[in-house]
Amino acid sequence: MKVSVIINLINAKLLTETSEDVLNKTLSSAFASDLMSDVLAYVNEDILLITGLAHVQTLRTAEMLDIQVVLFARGKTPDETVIELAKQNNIILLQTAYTTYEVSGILYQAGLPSINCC
Amino acid sequence: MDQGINFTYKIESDDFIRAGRVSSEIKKCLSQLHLDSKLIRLVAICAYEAEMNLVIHSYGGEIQLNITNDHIHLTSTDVGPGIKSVELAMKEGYSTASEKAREMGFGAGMGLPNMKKHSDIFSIVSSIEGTTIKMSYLTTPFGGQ
Repeated sequence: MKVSVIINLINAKLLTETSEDVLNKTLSSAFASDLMSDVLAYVNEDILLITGLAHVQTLRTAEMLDIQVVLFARGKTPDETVIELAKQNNIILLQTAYTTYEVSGILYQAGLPSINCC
Repeated sequence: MDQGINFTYKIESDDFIRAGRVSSEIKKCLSQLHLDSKLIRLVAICAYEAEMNLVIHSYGGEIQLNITNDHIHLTSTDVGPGIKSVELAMKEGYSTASEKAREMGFGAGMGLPNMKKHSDIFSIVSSIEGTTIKMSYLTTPFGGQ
């Protein structure tokens, strides 16, 4: 699923710079968690990470795992350091007012599956 | 014998803002060596878990990175307080992390099991004087045979 489609489906705001490449970036699965320990334990592919944890450690986790798109749910707003770290590592940041549950439901129904896990 | 290249990184206890920088440096360092990206990710995950453990649980310590012709060795050492029960700490879901660590998304009790899962060789020794965790990775498909 393209980032541009995700943005439209959940009315997301792009917090990092936009470009053709960003909007056309395609993701084949997603994982939702506020626990970075679990993200580190279970994710081993290029996913959409859905989280309510708008902290620098979310970005570090994404960096270690080569996750390129992070979506902050329920309107969570990261501070400048988080956005700066995302830019440094070419990570795309999205934000939506929907809850994690709503986002997951909408994207799953539209065809974005979960990772193979657990 | 090939001693390889060594890097040592100091980690401060309780430094939640800088936490992750060392792992980021390690990952960037390995990225310059034309290694398989999957292998780099495995080492990065373990380095990050080790770094977070040092920040959350230790009085301070260091991570050593040793790169030889056919191996990458990661060693995490600290000056205490030690793990009361390594057996319990190796169980998924067991954690003694602080509320502060949990707010950062850590303390799920996945750290040590995750390091073991993501390394080829894993060992841990702990006493009140400190904990040493060693993780090794084969960098060539046939181990240089």
